[in-house]
Amino acid sequence: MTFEAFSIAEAILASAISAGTIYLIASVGECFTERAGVINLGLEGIMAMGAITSFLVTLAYGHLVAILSAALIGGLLGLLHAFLTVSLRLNQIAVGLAITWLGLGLSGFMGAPEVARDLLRALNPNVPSHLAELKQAPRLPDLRLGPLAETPIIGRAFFSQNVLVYAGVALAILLWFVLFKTKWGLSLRSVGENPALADSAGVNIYLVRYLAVMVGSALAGVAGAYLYIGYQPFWVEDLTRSRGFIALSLVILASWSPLRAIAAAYLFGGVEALQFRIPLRGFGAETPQLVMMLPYVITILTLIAISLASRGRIPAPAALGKPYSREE
Amino acid sequence: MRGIVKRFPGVLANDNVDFTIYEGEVHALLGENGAGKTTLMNILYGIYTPDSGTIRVRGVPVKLRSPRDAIKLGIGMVHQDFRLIEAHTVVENVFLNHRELGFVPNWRSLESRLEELASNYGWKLNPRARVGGLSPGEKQQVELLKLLVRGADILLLDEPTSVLTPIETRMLFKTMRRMVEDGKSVVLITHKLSEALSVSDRITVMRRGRVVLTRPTSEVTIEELSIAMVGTQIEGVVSRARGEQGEKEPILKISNLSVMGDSGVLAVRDVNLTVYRGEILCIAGVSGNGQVELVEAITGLRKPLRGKIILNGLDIAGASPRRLFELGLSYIPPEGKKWGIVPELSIYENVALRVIRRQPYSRLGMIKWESIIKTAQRVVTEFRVDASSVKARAGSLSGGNVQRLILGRELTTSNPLLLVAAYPTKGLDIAATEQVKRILLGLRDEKVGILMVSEDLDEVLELSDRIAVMYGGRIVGVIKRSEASAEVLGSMMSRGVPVSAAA
Amino acid sequence: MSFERRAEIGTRFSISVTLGMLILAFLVSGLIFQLLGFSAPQIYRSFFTTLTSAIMLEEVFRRSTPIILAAIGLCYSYRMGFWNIGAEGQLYLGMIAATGVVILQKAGIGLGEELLLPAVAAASMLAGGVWSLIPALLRIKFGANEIITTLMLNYTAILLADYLIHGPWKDPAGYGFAQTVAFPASSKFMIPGVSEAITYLMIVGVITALTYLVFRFTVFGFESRVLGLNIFASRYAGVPTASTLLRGVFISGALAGLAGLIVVSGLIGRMRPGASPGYGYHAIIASMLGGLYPPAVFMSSILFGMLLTGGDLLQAGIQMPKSGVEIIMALIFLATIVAEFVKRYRIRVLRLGRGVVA
Repeated sequence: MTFEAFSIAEAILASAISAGTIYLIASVGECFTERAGVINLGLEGIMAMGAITSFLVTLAYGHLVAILSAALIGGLLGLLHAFLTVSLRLNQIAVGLAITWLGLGLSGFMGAPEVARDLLRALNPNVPSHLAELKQAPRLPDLRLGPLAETPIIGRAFFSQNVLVYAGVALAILLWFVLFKTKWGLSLRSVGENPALADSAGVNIYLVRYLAVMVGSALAGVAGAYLYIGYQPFWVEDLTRSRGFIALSLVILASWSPLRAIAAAYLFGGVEALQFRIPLRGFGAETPQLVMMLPYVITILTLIAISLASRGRIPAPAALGKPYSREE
Repeated sequence: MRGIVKRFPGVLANDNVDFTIYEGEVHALLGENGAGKTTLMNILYGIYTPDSGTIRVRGVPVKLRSPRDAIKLGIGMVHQDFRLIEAHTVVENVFLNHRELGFVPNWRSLESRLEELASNYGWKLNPRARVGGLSPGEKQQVELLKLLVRGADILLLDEPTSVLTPIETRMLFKTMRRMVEDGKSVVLITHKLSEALSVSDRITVMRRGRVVLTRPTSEVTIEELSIAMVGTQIEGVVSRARGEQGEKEPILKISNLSVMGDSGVLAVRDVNLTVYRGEILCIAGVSGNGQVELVEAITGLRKPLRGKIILNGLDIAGASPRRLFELGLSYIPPEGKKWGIVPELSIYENVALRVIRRQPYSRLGMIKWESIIKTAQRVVTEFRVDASSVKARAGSLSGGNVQRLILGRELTTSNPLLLVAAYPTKGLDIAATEQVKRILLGLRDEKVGILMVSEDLDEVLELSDRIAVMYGGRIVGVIKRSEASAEVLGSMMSRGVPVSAAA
Repeated sequence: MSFERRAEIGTRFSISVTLGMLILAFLVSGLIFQLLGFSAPQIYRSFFTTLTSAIMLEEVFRRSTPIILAAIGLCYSYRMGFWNIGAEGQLYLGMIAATGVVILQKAGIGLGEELLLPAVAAASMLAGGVWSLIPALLRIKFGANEIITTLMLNYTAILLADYLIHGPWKDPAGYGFAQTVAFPASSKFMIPGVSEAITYLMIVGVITALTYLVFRFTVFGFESRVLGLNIFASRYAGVPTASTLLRGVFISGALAGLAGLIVVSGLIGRMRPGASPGYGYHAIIASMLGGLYPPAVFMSSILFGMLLTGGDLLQAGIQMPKSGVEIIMALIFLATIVAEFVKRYRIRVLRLGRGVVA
């Protein structure tokens, strides 16, 4: 392989992991939520809110506070979702869509120059508020893991990324462990399979579902934060580009397991990475839209493939999407 | 429990009920469907909260707000529908959310504890087996283990025998007596008189939400119990089969039929069956042995894998339900409220359901609502459906009325040659059950062929002219009513000897 | 506190709950705007002024037209329980198809100037319908969840339009701007002597009325309703599930495609990026707000037209970003959903003392 091929492969791989982390953090959180039986279609909007929050707060207080605030906002939106779907037992799909649109609208609103300026001033008067109008914030620095970072091809990809990328993998492993190896995970999974059973075993269904939704949403917020400060620190109105919805189908592809989600997320990250490379090699450089369609088309093909593979027997948590009520 | 009152929209489920359980007894809570027994026990288990009344456990007044509170007091319940997670293993189901479960559970020690406990009662269970693959009897054992492992001494069992073969039922009763010897108390909720008498120490009869009598079993007679349950005497099971008659004309002939089930396994294996005009053929057997899939294949709701289904000379395998309806096949689906009607629609819209494409109910795609409403009114009056108007929501009807509506709709809008009915009297009160039986017998006398599926042996023995027993997707045997009895059927149902007879 | 299902839901009660929740939604959004530095009363006054003058009203109707069409179309899907989120994509396909026909016409291929209007109408409806059939077939054959598939196809359709506008269909005389050639007058819906808005109103009125009749008096309308309520019962009743589904979904897509035609031929005059500010999504909310009942859907869509027109005014006037309107719409959607809950359940508070004694 020529040197040029090497460096392209290296760049693609690094991009794949970088892009894939967005999907990873969000879908791992959603795995957790769906395992408890709730489907959260609000991911997209929560991601957007996480992004705008991290934009403003980074300028005001720096990266760490930004990530925490994004998680907090995500958690609050998750609380809203949980209240509507678990306590009021409303249709999870409708509520999710409403939250997505609310999140998209709010984040677009907050990102507009005048509003952003005022918000930044309110957050931290010491920071020159015109920075908000530039729509740009400092990017998360890369963490180089010692000499391993020098390894050809995979060095840049695996050992020289920012902290959230590593956190993504760690989160996936942590959540997998909690779900499948601990007592809490067993209770959570049983809520998703058969809430009536879990209830008579004394599990507090409502608490479990609330927590699951809030954790998932908080992670979606963090994914949004990563999207902005870790991946693409230019604020545009359609920043999320339906990545939230793609993350949802990723969960299905990963059969609701956080570990498999790692593979699936990086796969999609790879598709996204390729999307930006191909035009640069003269493939319709002026009109990259056809290539940009790839993630969406692949998602559809993925759904078809899953259905064919499992012959209609999808291993979803049995009670997914159904509100629970003791007296009904 | 004293003075318990519980109201649901439209119905008073428990009307000032007093109920006492003693230590070390088997107490049967007897009553027909809808009498309020399950509600009462659900209150004891913390699933419902009573509108008024008090509960004392071991002398201490308690407030049960959720099953967690009940479990803490040593009360455990096994429900009619198994509350188990099919995808998880036995040990995972039993120890779910158990206090002693470590953060990262030590499965091996839990498994051996389980095996020990199970062998105590003579059960053979593999703790690592997936619950989904167990038989109903084994699933029940898992449910019981769940309770025992949490130290339950008051066990509430809701209609446990409805899914068991007679042999498994006997084993269950033996287990119950064992538990009582260990000092536990068991409440058996049932609607079967014979069961209550055979295993209990005391019996309480409930009717329409009230306690009618509470007495030690030894001091009460069948007559008193049946009067208490229904107000009138129930005769022993009298067969209403027709005597032998001459020419028999087949209306439905099934040969070599195999049907795929939902989970990729064959549900119906190579079935051969014939139904004649003017007879009632009952398919008996514990539900889950392929009866529903067989019926669905016959009525066009499921495509068979192979085999022939011949209705009145025509091969109908794979035909659509509508076409079959036109050919004279009527179907009463199981759980009428869920599958046979659309609850959100009005009564007259439901009547239109099967015949909407036919004249005079529609022409050139446009619906003529007046003729539908007229037909609906006829159905409601002729079949005594208790509704305020045909415009009322069908979902507001009680189970019995829904069944009347379905039957009425089928019979008013067509003249069937063959009627297929799946569990037609399940969950109905005595009056509705009698009406349905009478209608079925009436149809039989008019030379309609009736294929019925039922899991109630008494009902099977009462109504059928011939009985086919189904087990594991196969017809174990077809016998005449005169050759049948509870024991014969019981042994056929539990993997027993297939009895060959004139099919 | 416990929830108890209501036995009966009266229509008057139903409407008042919906209206009440709507008002609540407006109040909450007003609060949000106030917090973010805008004057809420000023915003609402602007919305009302859209109804004051004739010119404004015309603009409101014009903007509402694509929403009404798409929303009525969605009623067909939603009644059957097919959660079609793809109205936006189907709308774009309608735009693409119509533009394609116009370009062909200008290049000399076509049926002639007089038949241009029927041609574009047929093309846009066909394109929208076919686009909506894709997710329907995917669901029938593969059980693929239509929410995700329709959504993915939306983005695909928008990207396709983008590609065409920037690429092969770019107007060479357009001064370098990314847009297509203008639509000739013969491609617009026009009745001589009547204003554009009224023309649209009539078209839309007829379609709404027809849909109402279909739902209430045709076998297809009845069967699609049964299909949406209970799949098993519908098979038992002999409803041809697949063909009913496909027919209904096709109509949804066709109407959305027609909406797209109105956008490019009437509202804008050509196809350009961002031609639809999300009409397809607004239609979703409008149809649910109207409870899938055509006359009510008609009125909710007008409300959305009002919001959009008002939003334009506000952006010009007080520099409020357009996404503000989206916030209001999202809250309206939430309000609609919560209204469902209030209609269906009654809250019962267990009074201590008469309740279970400890």
